[in-house]
Amino acid sequence: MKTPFPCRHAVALVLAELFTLFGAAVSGVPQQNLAFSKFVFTQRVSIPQTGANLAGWNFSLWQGRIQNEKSPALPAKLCAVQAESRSHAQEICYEGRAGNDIFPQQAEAKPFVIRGSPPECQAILFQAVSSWGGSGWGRLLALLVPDEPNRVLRNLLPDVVVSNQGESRFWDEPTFSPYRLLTVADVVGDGGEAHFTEHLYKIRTYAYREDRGSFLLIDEYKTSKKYASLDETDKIDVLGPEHAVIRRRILSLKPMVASEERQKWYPWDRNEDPKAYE
Amino acid sequence: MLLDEDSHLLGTATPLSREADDARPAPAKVQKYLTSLADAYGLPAEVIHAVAQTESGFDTGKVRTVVQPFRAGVFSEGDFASGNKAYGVMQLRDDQIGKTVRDADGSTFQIGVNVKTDWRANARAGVALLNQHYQLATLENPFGAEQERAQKAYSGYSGGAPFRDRYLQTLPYSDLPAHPEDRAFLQTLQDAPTAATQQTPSQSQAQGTSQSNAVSSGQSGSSPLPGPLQRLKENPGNLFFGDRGTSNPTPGATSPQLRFSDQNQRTPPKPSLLNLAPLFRSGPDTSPVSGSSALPRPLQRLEQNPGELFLHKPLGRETRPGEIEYDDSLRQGGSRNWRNNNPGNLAFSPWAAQHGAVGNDSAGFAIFPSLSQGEEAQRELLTSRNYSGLPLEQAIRRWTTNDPKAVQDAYIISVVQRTGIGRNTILANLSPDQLSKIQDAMKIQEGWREGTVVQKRKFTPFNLMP
Repeated sequence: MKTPFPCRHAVALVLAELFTLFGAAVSGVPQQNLAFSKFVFTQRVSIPQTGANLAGWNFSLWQGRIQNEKSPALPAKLCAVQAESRSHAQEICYEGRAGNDIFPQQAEAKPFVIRGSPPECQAILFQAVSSWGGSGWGRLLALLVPDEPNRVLRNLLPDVVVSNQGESRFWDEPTFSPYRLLTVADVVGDGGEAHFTEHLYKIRTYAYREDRGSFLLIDEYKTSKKYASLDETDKIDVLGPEHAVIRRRILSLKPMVASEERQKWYPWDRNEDPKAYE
Repeated sequence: MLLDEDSHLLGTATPLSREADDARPAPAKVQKYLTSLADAYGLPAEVIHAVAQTESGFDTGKVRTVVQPFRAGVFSEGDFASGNKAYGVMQLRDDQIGKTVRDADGSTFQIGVNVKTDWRANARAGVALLNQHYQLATLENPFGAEQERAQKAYSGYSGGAPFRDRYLQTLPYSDLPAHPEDRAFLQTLQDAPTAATQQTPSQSQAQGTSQSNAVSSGQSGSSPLPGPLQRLKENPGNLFFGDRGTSNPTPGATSPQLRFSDQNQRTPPKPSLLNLAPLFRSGPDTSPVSGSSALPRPLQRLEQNPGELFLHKPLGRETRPGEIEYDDSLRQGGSRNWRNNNPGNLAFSPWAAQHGAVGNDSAGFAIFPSLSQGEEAQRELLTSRNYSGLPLEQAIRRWTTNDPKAVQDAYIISVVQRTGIGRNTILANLSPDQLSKIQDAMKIQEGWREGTVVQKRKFTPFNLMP
């Protein structure tokens, strides 16, 4: 069962990302999961202990392992344990997987504000890369919050993977939603094109729905023109030129307002087709 | 929990002799235990040995009072507490007792007070701490040189986490680290025998023939030059400067005691011309790697290619978008795989670096110094375990992983049409000629388009003349 993550006790957040060595005061209880030892500890993700919705949790980031001659691949992962916990047995982890793909490499994690206006809400933005050494690779995006009742680190996003020809951006549109929106652009195949030639792009926008406790796809369209890909540029730039279109399309939707207003606005509450937003 | 590999040797000893043996173990025994720890953690044994050598000279009974170092008036986390003592082979400090670290099997353990008296506990805790620094150094710079990673790990181990970059501070007129402990560590590390030389006499005897073959067949090509030669190769100017740092050590510095093993006993190398002299003497004693010739293996290579001493790593770097600079030319425009000498558009990775990539462009693709090296790396990847067992169609989907299906479909159709090879053909069953055809088709699908090659002007005494 999904539990909407608590955002009630939110306070201002100072983003901090510190490389610290693993030195947590744990009780010396042996780690039960032996596969754990194959991950490489990267970083403790620092959260200001000031009562924000992530306060009281310690997060640690672990790099995974790519497949080699001797061993299978392991996904990168983010683990969380409550600060007062004396045992890593209480740890809950999210592993970088999407569909059949695993994402072991270049894992990053940092606190991320998903709602800027008070009360502020935050999640851990987790990213990891999947590559088989060839010309394509993908980056997994996840917004993670501890879901204590279900003992999981829950991803607020659906599976979002951005290819190396793609681009992603979080942005604010307060008139539509108090939460940040995520928009992703990725290539659309068209027969006969070379791998990194100009492509059409599909633009997807995700917004947070409080009652579901997660981000949902709210808009999707294919660009009308082709944009340069990696043969012509080092940095994909589709969302910039398309921003006006994206914004116009979003604003044509019913705004996702605060929960008390939700009943009158959401189309699925008026027996309209909920699939249109999912 | 790690098993003590020596335990079977102690099986017949009396409890008293065992206790005496354990109290003051021979350096060889300590080395062997450290090697087993290195294997368990996946760390290079040479690095752990060099740390132990620098810290204690493998003296398990060594106790010293740690002098509070001057840090510009500021003592930050990781600094030593005042009046700290350091104990044993890995010189564990009082303030490290009670810390929780990870064992090689992933379990956690607390550093106990027994590190003061139990040399195995001391070694185990020290290696666990060193492992943290080493892994961090690896992650910070995954493609960096092994030596730099080891130096960074040691600086962190010795000085505390905030001083992991201490080794970058060098002596004036020298590239040696300014801090005496970092300098001693580097010298010990560079003087350490390579893993290939750390074997028992019986192993050496058994492998003697194959080793000679390896030398003659050029398989030793990747072995580094000895420390002084390596530094000279990188900084020819060192020929003209002595090592001021070593001749004028900081008071209280740990002097390197280079008694790694009886057979390799020698003084620390200095980056000056004088120190090359012993290396040019003929005779087996001076050879870091035994070979059939009188000269050490690196010098054999130098004898054959004298210019190698001053050659640098092949150049391949992005100077600005759309331009790659090589040793002799600039490549401008064209497609990315043409500019990068990377027909398959391989991602830059440790694997690519091991297979000849010398850098990456800003989009993350590998740059190879020549087209043939790029082709060779692509062939190696397609015939590696990750690809060779796949049908052509699946191999291309993996090559272009995370691309939309339609992009992958277009790629597959293009390669199948250009080569006439069925999409269900397993790569391992392809002939070399078929594999080449597939590479050619992939090169085209990756967008191969030639741009402009601008030859760099070579400066010689002749063309500098008016």
